[in-house]
Amino acid sequence: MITSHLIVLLILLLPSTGQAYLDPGTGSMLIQGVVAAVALAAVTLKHYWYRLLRFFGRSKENPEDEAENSKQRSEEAPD
Amino acid sequence: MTRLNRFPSGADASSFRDPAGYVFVFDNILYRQVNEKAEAEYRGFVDCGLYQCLVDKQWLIEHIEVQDPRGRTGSGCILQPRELPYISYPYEWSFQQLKDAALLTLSVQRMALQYGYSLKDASAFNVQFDGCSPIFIDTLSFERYQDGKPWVAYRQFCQHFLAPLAVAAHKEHRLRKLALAYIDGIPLDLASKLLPGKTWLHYSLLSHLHLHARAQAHYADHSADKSSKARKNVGILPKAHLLALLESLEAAVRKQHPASFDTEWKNYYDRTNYSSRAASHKAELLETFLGKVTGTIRLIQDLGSNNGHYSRVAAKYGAYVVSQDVDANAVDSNYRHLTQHGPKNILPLELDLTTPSPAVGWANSERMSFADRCGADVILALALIHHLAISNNLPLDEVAIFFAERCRWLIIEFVPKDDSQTERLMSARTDIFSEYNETGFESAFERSFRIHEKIAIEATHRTLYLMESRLERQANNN
Repeated sequence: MITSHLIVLLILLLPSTGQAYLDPGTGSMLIQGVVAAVALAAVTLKHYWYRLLRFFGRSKENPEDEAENSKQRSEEAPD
Repeated sequence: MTRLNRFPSGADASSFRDPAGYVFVFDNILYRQVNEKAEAEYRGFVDCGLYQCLVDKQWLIEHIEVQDPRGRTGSGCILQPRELPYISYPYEWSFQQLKDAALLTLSVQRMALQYGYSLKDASAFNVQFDGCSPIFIDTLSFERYQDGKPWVAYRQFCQHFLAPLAVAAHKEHRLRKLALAYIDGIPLDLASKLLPGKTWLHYSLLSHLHLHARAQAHYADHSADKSSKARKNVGILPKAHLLALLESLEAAVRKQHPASFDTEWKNYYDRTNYSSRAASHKAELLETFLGKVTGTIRLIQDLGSNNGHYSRVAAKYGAYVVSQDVDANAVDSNYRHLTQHGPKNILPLELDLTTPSPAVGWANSERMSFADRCGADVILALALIHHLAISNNLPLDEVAIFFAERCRWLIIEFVPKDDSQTERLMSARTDIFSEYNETGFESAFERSFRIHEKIAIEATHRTLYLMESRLERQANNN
């Protein structure tokens, strides 16, 4: 997570250069790797955080897991 | 539906970007050509079950495979998709419609990945509205997913969906009209500049828009060689990461809510001069007139629908109703009402009739103008004429000709000068509208229409007319 934040910080510090249009796709390809890694790390951390809370009896379920489960339930249900 | 804008090759002018195929019209029927080199990809998409799964969920337009109506043989295959009654564009959708179109695109992409496919583009123009349900229309947008490959449409998704939603939510709702100026989506550097500083603290906007724009700008100045090296360094994006990216985009989209905006019509029905008696009489008259219309009613266009109250009355006749209004809040409220309570055969859209959508894109042909698309069996112009004639100084006979060329039947409400709403419009103006009275209105419209009936609306000074056009249809719908 800290590494991911450092990467985000590094990109943040990239100089915002010029208006020229050469290859706008390269930046998009690179940033999505970083954003995806952070997103995955966040999902994983949240998952373990809620498991920890559940272990100590503080919370029943990760609300996102719950949402995901209900989404799966609705997708499984016949239309 | 016939489409007016075509290239000399016969291909529809809106479908030249993708080498996999194109759309064309033959004998007033819409077809999609799948080019030979893309046929294997298309067959795979159908054979793996993804096509049927998306169609079953009503996420993708269904089609049948047919013989080439032009008689050509041996080059790919021909699809005949179900035609939608009315084509709309993202710059005509309300905030919630754009949001739902974004969420549909992400759902389609997630489902595609489950079947080993991926969307190769994420343009908002790939989505249409079938009534108030968004539906993906580009059957050739699916390519086989290569494990580890980043999502090639990520930039386009951010430009077409997240950027306009964020700018409208955090800055000003009218900025969604930027989509008209930038048909490949709002450039991310522009979105980043427009968004207020506090959005740098929203992680989803920071990452998908602000940092994304920075990264684009950084690599835009690199030489082709350096960019190519940088691309090699992109490395692989494992599927789990890609799914996390889609989750993150979905969360970002869901977090966007329209800023509260006061609009002209927000409390229209609270401060209108309508009594409930007048409103119910007007609805009764509308039903009576619709009952007297001869011929099939397939499409009704309500060109000043406000929150869609009378569109819903008209929809009882089974026709598809396009319910259009200038007020963003009224359209959003109409859409939300319809998605929750139905009926589903009404398409709400934003329309400023005094400045409707122009034709845009290559050769001004890619996206049709409103004037080219406007056309219905019945046009409703309720509580509209005073806005056109008084607020916008439009001569009545010009209004009559515009309508007469685009419908068979017109149900129009005349709102006289002594109506309190018209008085409000004229309160700060010199009265230059000597012809604006019932006689002037009838004489202007009689040149283009045959007036079948006129009935005064109870408890108002207004009159409702049923008219039949004398002119030939110019529009391209139906």
